[in-house]
Amino acid sequence: MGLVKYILRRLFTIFVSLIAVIIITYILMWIAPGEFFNIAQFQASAGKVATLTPEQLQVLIKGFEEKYGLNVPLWKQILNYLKDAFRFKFGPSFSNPNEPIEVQIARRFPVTLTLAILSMTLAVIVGIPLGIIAALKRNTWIDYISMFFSMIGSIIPAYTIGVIMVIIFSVYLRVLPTSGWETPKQMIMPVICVALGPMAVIARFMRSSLLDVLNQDYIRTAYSKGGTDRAVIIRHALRNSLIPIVTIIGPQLAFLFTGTVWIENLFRVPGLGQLFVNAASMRDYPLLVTSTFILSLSVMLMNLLVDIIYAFLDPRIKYE
Amino acid sequence: MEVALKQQKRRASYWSAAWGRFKKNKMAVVGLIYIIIIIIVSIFTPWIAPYPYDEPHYAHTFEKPSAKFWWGTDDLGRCMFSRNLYAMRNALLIGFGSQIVVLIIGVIIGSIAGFRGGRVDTILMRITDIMYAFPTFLFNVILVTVMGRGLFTILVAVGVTGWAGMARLVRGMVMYLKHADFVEAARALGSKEGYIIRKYILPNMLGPIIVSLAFGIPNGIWIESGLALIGMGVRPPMPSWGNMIGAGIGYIMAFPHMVIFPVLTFALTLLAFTYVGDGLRDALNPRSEV
Repeated sequence: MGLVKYILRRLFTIFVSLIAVIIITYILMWIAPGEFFNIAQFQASAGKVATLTPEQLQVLIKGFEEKYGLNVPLWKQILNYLKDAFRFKFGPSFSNPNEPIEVQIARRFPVTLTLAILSMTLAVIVGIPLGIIAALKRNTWIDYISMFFSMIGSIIPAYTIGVIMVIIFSVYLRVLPTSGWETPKQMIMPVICVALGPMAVIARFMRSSLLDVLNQDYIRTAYSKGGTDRAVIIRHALRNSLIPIVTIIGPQLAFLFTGTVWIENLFRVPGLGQLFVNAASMRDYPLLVTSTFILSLSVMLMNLLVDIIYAFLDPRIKYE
Repeated sequence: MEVALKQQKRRASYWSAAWGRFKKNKMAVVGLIYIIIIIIVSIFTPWIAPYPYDEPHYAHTFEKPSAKFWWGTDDLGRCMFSRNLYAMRNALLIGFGSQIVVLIIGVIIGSIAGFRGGRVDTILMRITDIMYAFPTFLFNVILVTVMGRGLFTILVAVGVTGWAGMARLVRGMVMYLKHADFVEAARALGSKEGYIIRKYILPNMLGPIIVSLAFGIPNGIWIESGLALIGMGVRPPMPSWGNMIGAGIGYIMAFPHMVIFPVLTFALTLLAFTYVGDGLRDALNPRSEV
C-alpha cells in the first residue's frame, strides 16, 4: 500500500519537475537573441538557393512560424508543447523538417541507454570488489593503489580519460578503433570512459562502508562465536555494507548521463547526447527542448527505480 | 573588552590549529604550492607567454616541442605553451568566479530556508531538489546557448547551475546552529539576532563552506572545459583546455603532442585542487571521518 502511494507521489514530483524544466528552457530560448527563422538553414534544408523578394520572404517566415507553432504567444506555445510532450509527439525539428523528433529520439535512445546500462554495470561489478579488497587490505599498498586510482577516476573528467585511452590504445597500440558504435570493439572505450567516474565513487564508498560495518559490535560477536574470516565477512559484513551503495548509485546516474554527452561526442556515438549537442550548436530549439526533456526524464525515472530498490533491500526504510 | 579579547584568541587558535593539521598532509601542501604558482603565472600571463595565444606561424605548423616552441605548435602554428597558459588563466577565472556565484546564491537560498523554515523552506528545498537531480550540464549548455559564449557568461552559467549543494549545506548548518546550545545561551544572555549571526552562526559555517568551495573550483574548471570540448565554451581563438583537446583529437594519430600537454596540465590542476580540498576538509572538520 505504502509502496504504490510512494511511487505515485514520486511520479507526481517528476511530472512537476519536467514541466518546470520545459518552461524554464522555453523561456530561456525566448530570451535568447536572434530570430528563430534562419534563412541560410532553411535554404540548406529545402535544397534551394534563391534570392527572395521581401514579400516572398514574409510568406516563407509565416509558413515557417505556422509549421512550428511559433505564431501564438509564448505561454500558448509552452502549453501546446506540454500537451504534445506527454503524448510523446514533438513535431519536426528545424534542422530536419521532414522527420518528427520522436522518430529521431527513438533511433538514438537505445544507443544511449545501452551505453548507460553497460557502463553502470561495469562500474558496479568492478567498483564493489575494488572497494572490498581495499577495505580488507586496509593500509597496505593494494589499498593505496586502488584508492589512488579511484581518486583519479573521480577527479579527472571522463572525456580527458577518453583522450588518454585513445592515445594509448589507438595511437600507440593500435588495438581499438577511435570512433563509431557498431561492433563490440568500438564500444569498449566509450563504456569504460563513462564507467570510470561512477566506478571510482562506488569503490571509495564501498571501502568506507565495509570498514564501518567491520567495526560494529555484531561483527565482533560473529568472530567470538568462532566464525572464520571468510564466513563473517561474506555472511555478516558484506550484506549490510552493500545497502548504502545503492544510495550513491542514484546521484551517479545524473553524472553518468552527463558523461555520455561528452563521450558520445568524443567517440562519435550516435546517441541522445550527440543529438543534444547538435541541437544546441545549430540552435535547433524544438530539438533542444525535447532532448533535454528526454534526458531529464530518463535520469529522474532511474533515480526513482534506484530508490525503490533501496527500500526493498533495507526493510528499515519507510516510503516517505 | 576582556570577553572580546578572549574570543579573538580562541578563534585565532582554531585557524592556527587547522593550519597545523593542513601542514601534516603533504599532498595538500604540494597542491597548494602548485595552485599558488599557477595563480601567480595566470596573473602575469600576458608578460610570461612567449607568443600571443592567437598568433599563427604558418611556417611552423604541427611542430614537435623545440627550443623555439617549448611545447610545440598546433595546426595553425600557434605556440602551444602560450595557449596552455591562457587556457589555464581562463580555467582559473571560471573556476573561482563560478564559486563566487555559487556562494552568493547558495548562502542566500540556504539561509532563508534555514532561518524561515515552514512553507518557505519546503518550497525552496523542492526547487533545490529539482536542481540537484537534474543533469545540470544540460542546463549549462542551454544557458550558454542563450547567453552567448563569453568568459563571464560561462562563469555565470556554471555558478547558476551549481548552487544546489551549497544551499543544502547552508540550510542544514543554519537549522542546527540556530538551536545549538551556545546560540540559545547567547540568546538567553540577551544578545541581539544580528550579533548572534555575526559572532556565532557565521564563524561556525565558515569551515564547511570553504571546503565546499574548494571542491567546487575543480568542478567549475571541468565543466568549462567540457563545454569547450563540445564547442560550447569560450569562442576560438581564445584557448581553453577543452577546445585544445577537442582540436587535438582530430590529429591525435599523427601529432599526439597537441593533446598530451593540455591533458596533463588540466589533469594536474584538477588533482592539485582536489588534494587541497581534501586537506582543507581534514583540517577544518576534525571530526569528519570519510
